[in-house]
Amino acid sequence: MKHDFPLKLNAVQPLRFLSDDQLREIHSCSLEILQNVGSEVQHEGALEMLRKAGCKVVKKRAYVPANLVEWALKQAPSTVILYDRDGNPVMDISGRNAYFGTGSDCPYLYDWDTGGQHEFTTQDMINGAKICDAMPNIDFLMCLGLMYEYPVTSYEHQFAAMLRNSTKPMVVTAANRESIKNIAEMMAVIRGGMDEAINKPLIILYDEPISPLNHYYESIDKLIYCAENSLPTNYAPAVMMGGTGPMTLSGALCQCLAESLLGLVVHQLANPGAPFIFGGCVTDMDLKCMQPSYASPTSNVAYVVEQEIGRELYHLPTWGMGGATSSKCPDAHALSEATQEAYLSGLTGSNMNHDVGFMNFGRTYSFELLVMMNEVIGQLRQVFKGVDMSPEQLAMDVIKSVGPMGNYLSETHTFNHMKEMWQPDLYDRRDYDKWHDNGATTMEERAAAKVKDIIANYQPKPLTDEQEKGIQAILDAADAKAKEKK
Amino acid sequence: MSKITDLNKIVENGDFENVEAAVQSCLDDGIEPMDVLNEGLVEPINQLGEKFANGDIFVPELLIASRAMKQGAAMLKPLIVSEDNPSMGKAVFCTVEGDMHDIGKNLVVMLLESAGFEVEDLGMDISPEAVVEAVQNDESIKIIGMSAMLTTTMYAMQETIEALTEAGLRDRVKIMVGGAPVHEDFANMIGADGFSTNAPTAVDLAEKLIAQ
Repeated sequence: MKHDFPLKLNAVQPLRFLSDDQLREIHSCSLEILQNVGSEVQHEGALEMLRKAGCKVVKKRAYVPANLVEWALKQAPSTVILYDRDGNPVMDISGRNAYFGTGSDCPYLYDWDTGGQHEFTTQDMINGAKICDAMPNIDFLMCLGLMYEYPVTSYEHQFAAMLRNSTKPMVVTAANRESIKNIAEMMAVIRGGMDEAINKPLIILYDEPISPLNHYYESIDKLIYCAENSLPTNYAPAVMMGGTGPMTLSGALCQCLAESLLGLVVHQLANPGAPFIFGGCVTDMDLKCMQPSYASPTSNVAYVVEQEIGRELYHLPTWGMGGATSSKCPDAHALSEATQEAYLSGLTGSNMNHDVGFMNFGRTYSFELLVMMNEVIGQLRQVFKGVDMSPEQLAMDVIKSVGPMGNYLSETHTFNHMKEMWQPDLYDRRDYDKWHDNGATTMEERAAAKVKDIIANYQPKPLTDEQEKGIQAILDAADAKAKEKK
Repeated sequence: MSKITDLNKIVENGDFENVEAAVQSCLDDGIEPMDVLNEGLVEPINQLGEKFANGDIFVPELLIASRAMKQGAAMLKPLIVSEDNPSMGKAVFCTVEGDMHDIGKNLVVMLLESAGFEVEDLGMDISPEAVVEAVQNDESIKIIGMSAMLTTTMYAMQETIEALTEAGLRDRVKIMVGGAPVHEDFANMIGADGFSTNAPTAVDLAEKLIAQ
């Protein structure tokens, strides 16, 4: 398939950690878990579907046979195309296209001016969406932080804030069926109808079970809603090794896979062929401080292996990690961990790499880390382009023409290709005196200045009046209903 | 006291296969049951607790040692009169209604038990009525701990506190709350007595609340 939009293709040779046989062994263990250990499914409708499809069901425990899993794997499509707010195709979630986006629902925002953190506010959400929109290497948005102002309808308001301030695709979170339905209706407002919203998806739902092997009502209900309406969704287990999963990496992967696959089976039973993004997050819990470590070496290997299984074995679009840290501030620790995560995800060709800008185990968001990671991802993308071996790039003509002892500075060939080199925005490559005379700033300080500049001056493309009216009407109705319930 | 030193080691190593024999051996030597409990079993847990607070050991080391300690303590229970009971106090814990996330709550429960609290774990998705009932049925409960993982479920903590107030039980207990979206202002707003961001500080908080 030829696209009329640029792919974020990883052109270098695939990074492989495991052989096909090893991937199959993990898959095989996860099938054994599904069939013999079982999964707790707290949703009557889903249990009924599973029972009818040949699963043994005892109370809420479902035992899924291997053949049903293999059937589901064959149903789900290998590609999901996402479209921006204006309806242009911008992301091909398949193969080894590596996209990067933020994370969702942090309780706090890092506060550069005080060095502390404050509770995430509605204004922070608006600012964050603007920054994402302005960052060329941030491909999709998640809602960054929580909006405490709206206890019942926060997810709807988060989505509206993103829609109003960015044209990029989004991954949304939702409380339940009603809230994802409200969000889908907002998407229909943007597209001018639900059919068009389904044909040209702007969003993916972020959905997750509770490890170990517990699939609670709301998560399954949202999964089924998305399947029934052909809206793309993921189903991303968060296995914390030593806490909610085994302490060992391959074991944690087996469990994570079993959780993902249970979601896939229910999803495909609800509507065979509905779009599903595969993959979760396996991270070791630091058993001294009892926090999930997010970007530990073990987690990074786990993400790579999951992508390999998703892409090579299952031929599904994949969900991954792309720039989180356990640091409490946007410092060297933060950028080191976030960069390692993004580098491995990009190199392996994981598709939807989220959590860029997450600090403090997903409790504190940092705009400064987001802006620094935009720079890093740009740099990495140059790496992932690989090597162009065309005659023009092999440059034999100009080598012959310059010959020994010359230089290339004034050659047309140099002029024609100089802009292909990656150019930094936040890194300062100037000589010492120029850097010193310009304030001798650190990368973090330049990132903070950039954040302030975007918040003060960046103007995102507004919604049309009609879209704005439609969105506001849905928010008002949802808020009124929430008030009524109270 | 070398028998006590042996028992300390066994508890420290979480050697629950040999703990009962070591306790018996202390008793056979004529050491008072209360001393076996305090010096033999509880003391190493206190030391491990301190090491854990300093980040020197992993939490499973503390939990497995506690498991050995409890096994030994169960043997001593019939031998110790109740007024000497060293329990820090009784707490009841739950993940609130509508929420099925319980790893954080479970961890707090395990650490509190290691610190000497008696904890009744009601489980997850627990209604305000169930909490009220638990408190009504047990006068020794001094602390209620509630956890929520979602912004949409954390208001169930408020409803639970309101239900306790209506039932006239609010003043009888201290209430502590926690969970990913919970913060101090929220805890104050709903009228909780304390809030903690993680399990180790939850133990400190419980100790502080019980001392009040």
